[in-house]
Amino acid sequence: ASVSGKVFDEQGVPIPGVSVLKVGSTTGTITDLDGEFEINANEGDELRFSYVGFQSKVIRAVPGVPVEIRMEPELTSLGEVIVVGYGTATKKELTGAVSQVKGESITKMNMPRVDQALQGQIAGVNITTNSGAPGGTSNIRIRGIGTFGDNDPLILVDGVIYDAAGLNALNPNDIESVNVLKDGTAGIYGVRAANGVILIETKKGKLNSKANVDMSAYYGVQQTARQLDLLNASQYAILKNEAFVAGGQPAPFSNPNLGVGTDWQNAVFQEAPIQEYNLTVTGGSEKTSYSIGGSYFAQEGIVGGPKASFERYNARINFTTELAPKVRLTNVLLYTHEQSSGIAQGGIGSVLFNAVNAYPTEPIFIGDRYSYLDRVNDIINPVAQLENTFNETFVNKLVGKEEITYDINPHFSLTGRAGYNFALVDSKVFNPLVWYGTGKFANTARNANLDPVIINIGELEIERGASVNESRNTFLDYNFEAFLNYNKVFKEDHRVRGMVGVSYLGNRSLGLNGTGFNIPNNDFELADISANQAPGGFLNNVGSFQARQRLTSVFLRGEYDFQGKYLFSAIMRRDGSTNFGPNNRIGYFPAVSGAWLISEESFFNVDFIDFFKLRTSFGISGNDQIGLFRYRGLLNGLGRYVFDGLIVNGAAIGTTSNPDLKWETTYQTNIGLDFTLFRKIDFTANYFIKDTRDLLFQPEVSALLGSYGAGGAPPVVNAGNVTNRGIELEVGYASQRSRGVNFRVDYNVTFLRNEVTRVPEGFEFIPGAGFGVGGNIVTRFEKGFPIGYFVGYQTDGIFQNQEEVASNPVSQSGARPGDLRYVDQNGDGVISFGNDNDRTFVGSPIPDFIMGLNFGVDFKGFDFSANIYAALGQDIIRNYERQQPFANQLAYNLDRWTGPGTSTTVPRLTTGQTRNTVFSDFYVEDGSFARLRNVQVGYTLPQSLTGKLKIQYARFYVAANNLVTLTNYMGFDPDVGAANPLFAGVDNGIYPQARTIMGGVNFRF
Amino acid sequence: QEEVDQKVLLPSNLNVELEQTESGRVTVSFQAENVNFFRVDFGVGNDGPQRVTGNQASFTYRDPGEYVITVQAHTTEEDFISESVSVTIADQIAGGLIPEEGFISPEEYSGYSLVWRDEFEGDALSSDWVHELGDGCPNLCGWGNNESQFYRRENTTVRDGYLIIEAKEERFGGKEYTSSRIKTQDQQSFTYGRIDIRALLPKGQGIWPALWMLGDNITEVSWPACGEIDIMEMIGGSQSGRDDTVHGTVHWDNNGSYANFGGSKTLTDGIFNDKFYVFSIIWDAEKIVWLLDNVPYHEIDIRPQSLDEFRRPFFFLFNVAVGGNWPGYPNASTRFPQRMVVDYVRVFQAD
Amino acid sequence: MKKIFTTLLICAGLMSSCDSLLDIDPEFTQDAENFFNTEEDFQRALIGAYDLMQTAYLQIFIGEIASDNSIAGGESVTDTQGLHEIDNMTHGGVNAELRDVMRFNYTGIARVNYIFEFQDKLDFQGKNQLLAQAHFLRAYYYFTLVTYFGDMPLIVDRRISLSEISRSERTPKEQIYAQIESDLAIAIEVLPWVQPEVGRITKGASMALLGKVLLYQEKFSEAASVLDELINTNQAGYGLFADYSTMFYVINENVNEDVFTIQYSGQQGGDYGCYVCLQGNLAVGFHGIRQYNGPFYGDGNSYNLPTRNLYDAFSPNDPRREATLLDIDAFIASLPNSGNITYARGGGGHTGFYNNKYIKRLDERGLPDDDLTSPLNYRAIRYADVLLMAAEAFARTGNDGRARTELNKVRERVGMPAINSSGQALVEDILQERRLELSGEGYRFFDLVRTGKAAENIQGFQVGKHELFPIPQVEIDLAGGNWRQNPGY
Repeated sequence: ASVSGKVFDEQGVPIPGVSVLKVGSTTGTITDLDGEFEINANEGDELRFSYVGFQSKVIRAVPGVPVEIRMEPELTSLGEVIVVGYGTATKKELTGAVSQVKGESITKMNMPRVDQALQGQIAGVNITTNSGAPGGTSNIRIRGIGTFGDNDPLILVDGVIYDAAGLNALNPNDIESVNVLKDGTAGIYGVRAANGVILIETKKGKLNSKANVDMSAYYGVQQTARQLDLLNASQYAILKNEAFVAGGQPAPFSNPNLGVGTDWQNAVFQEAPIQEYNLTVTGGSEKTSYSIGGSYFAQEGIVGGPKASFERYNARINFTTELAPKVRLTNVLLYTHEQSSGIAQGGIGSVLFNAVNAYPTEPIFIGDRYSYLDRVNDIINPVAQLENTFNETFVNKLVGKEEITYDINPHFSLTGRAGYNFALVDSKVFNPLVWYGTGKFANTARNANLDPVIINIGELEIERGASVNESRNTFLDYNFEAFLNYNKVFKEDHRVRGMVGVSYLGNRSLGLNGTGFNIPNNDFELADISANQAPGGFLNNVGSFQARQRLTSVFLRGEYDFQGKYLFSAIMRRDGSTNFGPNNRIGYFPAVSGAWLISEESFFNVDFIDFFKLRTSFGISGNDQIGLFRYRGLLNGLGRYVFDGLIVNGAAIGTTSNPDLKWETTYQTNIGLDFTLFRKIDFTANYFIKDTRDLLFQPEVSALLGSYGAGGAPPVVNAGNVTNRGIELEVGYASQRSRGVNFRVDYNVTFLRNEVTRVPEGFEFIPGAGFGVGGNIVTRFEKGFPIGYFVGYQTDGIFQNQEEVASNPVSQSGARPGDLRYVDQNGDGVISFGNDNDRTFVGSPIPDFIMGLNFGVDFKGFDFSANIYAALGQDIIRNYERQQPFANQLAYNLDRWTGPGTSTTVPRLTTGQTRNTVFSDFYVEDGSFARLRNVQVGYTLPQSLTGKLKIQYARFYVAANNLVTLTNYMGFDPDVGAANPLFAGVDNGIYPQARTIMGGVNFRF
Repeated sequence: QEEVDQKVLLPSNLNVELEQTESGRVTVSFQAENVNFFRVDFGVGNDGPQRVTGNQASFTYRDPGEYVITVQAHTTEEDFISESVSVTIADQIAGGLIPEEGFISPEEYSGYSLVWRDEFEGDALSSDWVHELGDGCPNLCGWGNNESQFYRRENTTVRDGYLIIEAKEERFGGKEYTSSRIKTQDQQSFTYGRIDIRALLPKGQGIWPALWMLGDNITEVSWPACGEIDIMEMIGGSQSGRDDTVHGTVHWDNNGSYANFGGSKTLTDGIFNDKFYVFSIIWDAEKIVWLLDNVPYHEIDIRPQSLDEFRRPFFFLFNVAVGGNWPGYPNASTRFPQRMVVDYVRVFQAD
Repeated sequence: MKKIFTTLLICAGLMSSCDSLLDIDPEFTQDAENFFNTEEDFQRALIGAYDLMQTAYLQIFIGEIASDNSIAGGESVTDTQGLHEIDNMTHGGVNAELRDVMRFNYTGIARVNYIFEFQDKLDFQGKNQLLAQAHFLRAYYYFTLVTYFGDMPLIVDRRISLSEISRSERTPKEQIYAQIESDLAIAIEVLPWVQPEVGRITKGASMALLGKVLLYQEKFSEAASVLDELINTNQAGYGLFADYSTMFYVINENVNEDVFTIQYSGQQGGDYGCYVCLQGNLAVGFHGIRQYNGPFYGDGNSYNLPTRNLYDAFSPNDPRREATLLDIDAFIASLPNSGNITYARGGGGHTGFYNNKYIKRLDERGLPDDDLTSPLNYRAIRYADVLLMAAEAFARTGNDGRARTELNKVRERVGMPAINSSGQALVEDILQERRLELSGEGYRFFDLVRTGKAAENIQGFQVGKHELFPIPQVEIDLAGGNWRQNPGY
């Protein structure tokens, strides 16, 4: 007999592709494009309907009567399919620590880049921002920082390697899911896995589904969320008078009534547009599914406007088709064109640094020229600077994959794939002749008339006019992989899965660049190397580079599962990388993991706990991104001798080779717990210890190596260790239609401790960032401390009067009332300013914990959602204040010490000699913050209306990014990242992330 | 958190006093209340009022005339009050105002003896010099370079120890400008030696002063076979490479075709009209070296046979040309009169 | 299951072919691993290996200061402390100069071994000539190490890797000597008597060094035969330079007396930051007279000051006394304007004497800093030394006649009467003659040690300890901490 019917979702929309199975048989079918099905069944047979994302449903068949089945969405995520290395698993089956973020959550954030959208979404993943400028990059750090080298995770998009910077090319709307392998089970990627692995899947179509056309668009206006509180002209004059007189110099302003003066920040900050338009068509026939799309994104900068802009054009075609029975072809193809311009950022010479330190008594213009800000040598007029900035970068990128899967039989399937990621990067920088005033470092002209500088080359005198630098670089990543999957259940209880594969990965980069001088008319329109008029071609120069890396691998995975209760998995990968010497070219990376589903046990009958699982894993992985060919000796030694009375040059090894150089190795142990309560609350917890060993150093070595001739240097060796340990918690709660309200909240938090546990003998520390201009190095990689911790003097208030100075048991040279009092760390009764005796830990850039909260509610077509990210316990060095007599200052100086009892925190002002400017905790601030990353309110037109309009779905929304940030930090933006962990938390005047207000629409036809 | 009165308080009671001395030097003194700094404009050039430190500023006028001096008392760059006073600079000496600064060369060199000098004492040229007059017509109209001046005796004066050749904007003999060109032909000529000429040069677009020499045999073999040594030539103008640059060149006949070889020297700071410089050559049978303030900047090896022009006697020519193929012509920016002031010319020869 | 195995087999097969994909070199760059592609590359590497011979200034210092010939001197007793400790026989495991000896000589060895590691990469005309010079250099560097430290790890024809260091062992010195002898045998075999370029190692230099190496091992008859062959064949025209008193002037460099000479040049400036980078002979300026402002000599650092004991060893009519020691006060007093000439006594000691062979003279200075850039060559083995070594070898093997012949050649050159002794007395006379002829040249300490005369002549010398220098403790630690320190330290 035949049973037929139709399957709907909770909204009443038909669902195609639902599998319908007669329980206890192999008879089955799936619903068609209209959600309809027909199946042979007899009265009383049980039919099971199942579909990803919905709770399965069982009904009794009643032949002859069409049934209507309404499926309820799955509230817990146990059935979600997670992408793991070379395969997938459901959350229920996982033995490793893997987290997933769905495409919708990313799309919803309306962030230009995927990684920005991930901030706060995943426990154990910390995203920090290098710059808020359009096209600016972020740092993704999974479970802490393991090295002072490259900490970037391995990122694979549809199996194709991306580097972190390359994520710019990806449209967040195209993402189906982001999967993060955090623990030892990432070891399936071997020598690339030590920093964790991120697997991004882009959207694919579904078989047997109607073509859906999705359109979305938003437009927003960005502005800075914050300007620094600086002195206005009158305040400036008063404070400078005081400082100069205190320094024994005449007061510079006999009349301090100068009004408010110039607000240089207002002069450089502006409102800037951001917009995105998207079109995606997905669908599928019986044998082919596809997803095709295009998008345009454009953003201008809140500093620099069009001079700091980023545009992206995207086109992609993904399809999967059945070539022959059992043979599937999957094609992924993405073309991106990017266009960007940038301005000087971060530290002295940058636009914001200039704006912060320019003094308010200087107008922007004097007469018809830009003012010179003559009184501070290394600060230039930031408005003039923006005007003189010219550069553009074009990226053309083609990323794709061809994959064939052959299902040999129900137990074996074989997959082969080839992937490529090709980028062509063209850039042009024009350096016009500019004059910012006498003695300014940024001048390229000889004088205000913009006469060129004269260069003497031998007898020749040559004018050095405007110059243009052009470069073309190409980057190609390619990979070939093949793997065989095996899957079989023995005697119902024993499920065995296996996988064996090989992979070959390579990359190649080439670059060519040139600089041409004497560009005519000092004009960007003519700025091309071809237009150079350098006399005789002198001064012009060219350069090139090329680099390549290869990795060959073999990997195995075996999984065993008994009754779905006891899960066990083991991995082994063998990697060969060109980055290592012959003695250590090949590495083996094992991992094991297991899980126990306690809730499946018969003895487990706690009503409100629907699911309870214990997991543990251990794995070893490597980091081969330590630089190319560093195992090799260099020929940079000097060898000279004297023959016939003349010095002759020879050759010699300089840096000694180390054929034993190997990857940095991470040993990671993870213990985890997953449970579900009331079918509504999902809970995941992980505790991990991650030991990274074999970091690279160049310590002293034995004489036997012969490293100590002229120009000689010791080899690079593996010699340092770092430990990260932490706890991650993720909680999700969802409720469905209690009085028509749907509600969902997700919360995650990560606690992390980072410590350097070993450096080689004779090494005290590796120095990092400097404080001030040409100042002391104040961040370090040092045993017993977190990576990049801050070292400086600890303050203990302020000397209030001469009495306190005199009675201070510690001798602090030069101390006067109003000065910071420093702590004598080594107890010798003297504050030593020349050495490390009294310097100590004054902060760490690494947060104690980070957390994210996602919240969503919808009611009768209205929806509201919010995303909050918080990082707590990290410190920031305030490093954007120029310590110069005439530089402007932050308004906290209004509360400076001006006599006994006036201030216990801000020292006196003086232009004279003072120790208040040495690096101490006075310059370190608590960088903790909580930020409302995204908040939005939307309205979805009711079905009744959209149906008439032949639209499946229509939603309008307004949203805001970075609407509110709670922090005590004084700077522009507390989210201060740095690619190099030794420079993290050093705020050189970061380009802040904009606050954006936008409106958008989503349609589906 | 603080109530600071954010109004701008303008200076008041600006008081300006002016003092003028003989040499064209003018000093203004100024006072005001609630002033943070002053800017002063002496009414010369287009640079606008310049910021000064203290309560005084001085300027030396080099050209007679009436000037307006403006003093601005500032609270901020944009908030100021100002006072103007005018000053008249009389034409005290016909040669205008001559700065005394500048390099002075020694009166003797070891290994050399002085053989001829003219220090231009007294009030007239010595008999060593003769004028060349006119516009070069009919033989060499425009002096072979399409120059725009008419050479006259009246444009040369000798006073206060200086020779002054003045180029004026006045029509004469069908030309727009007048000037002078003097030479020692048939009076004084020399082969080899060290020649020092201390001079203050004129400036401006189209002005072309020269201190140079020609071979005595020009009357027999004509130019360029007689050879020409340009000790100093300058082509005026405000761009870099003009008022701040002098050229040293030789011209000769290279087996029937005309040849020249030159070098130049650009000041790192200022122009040749600012102060005196000493232009020299050291000339012997093997080479000629050009020097500015005793620093060599150009050299030619004259040993090749084709340069034997330079092993014969040469006489001096001093002139200021106006306009021509090389310098171009005066324009609105050119100020007249322009003067070349020569302090002395000295010839030393090796012992 | 069968299918799984076939698949695995395919992969296993792929593995080695996959691995070969990993053999790539950096492109368009030469580094240590892809050098030796042209003859030129080999020549340049050889020069790199020669370079370390220029650190022989340490030999001139230590060979004298450790002995009864001189004191350390210098600005103060902490000026180059290592030399003062050696002077006082208080040296121990922390000694920068001894560490330099070890580092520099092993660097020389590493640079030679680097050439041999790739010796088969390319064939070209004259390769055996080039390699023969390298053999000599390795022998020279190992000989220095073995005389200073005794047993030392022997590394031959390859670069040692970092991971092997901790397993390295001190090779018995007999084995090192065997290597030295075999290296020198090749050099003697291949090298010409006269090289087209002055400064390249010759057959004669190799024979002389071999003779010295044999003598140091007390293989007297072998030494006698090598040196005899050198003296008799002598196709290079070696002889004794007529004027002993000016023999150490720059103008008399590379004359008939030069057998094995380390070349220096004053044409490259230098600074105190890198002694191993110098092209000049550092010892010369360091030996100079402190703050001297008179004629003929330059000023310097008053190092390595000869003792009165050495002065008294000469007979007053021996011209070598004045040629070897500069009696500074007497010299100044002899000058016409002596009242205006001053010099300073260093706080590191003053004997009244300076090393008059290797000393900075006014017209022999190099580029700045001329304390470091003297062009004056170091005669590592000169012909007089060859004759005296031969005499010693003959005397020790009973050939007193030949011994006297060679000895008296040396004495005759400086007008000293012939010696007629024989037997043990003759041996003693020869050893005494070595002191008179060769003092100030860096051999004395090693001569005293090898002839068992150190204890009686050197204050503080302990038998059974001071024959060898201690291995710097930090080097023992860096080598894994397993080496036994030399006895007594």
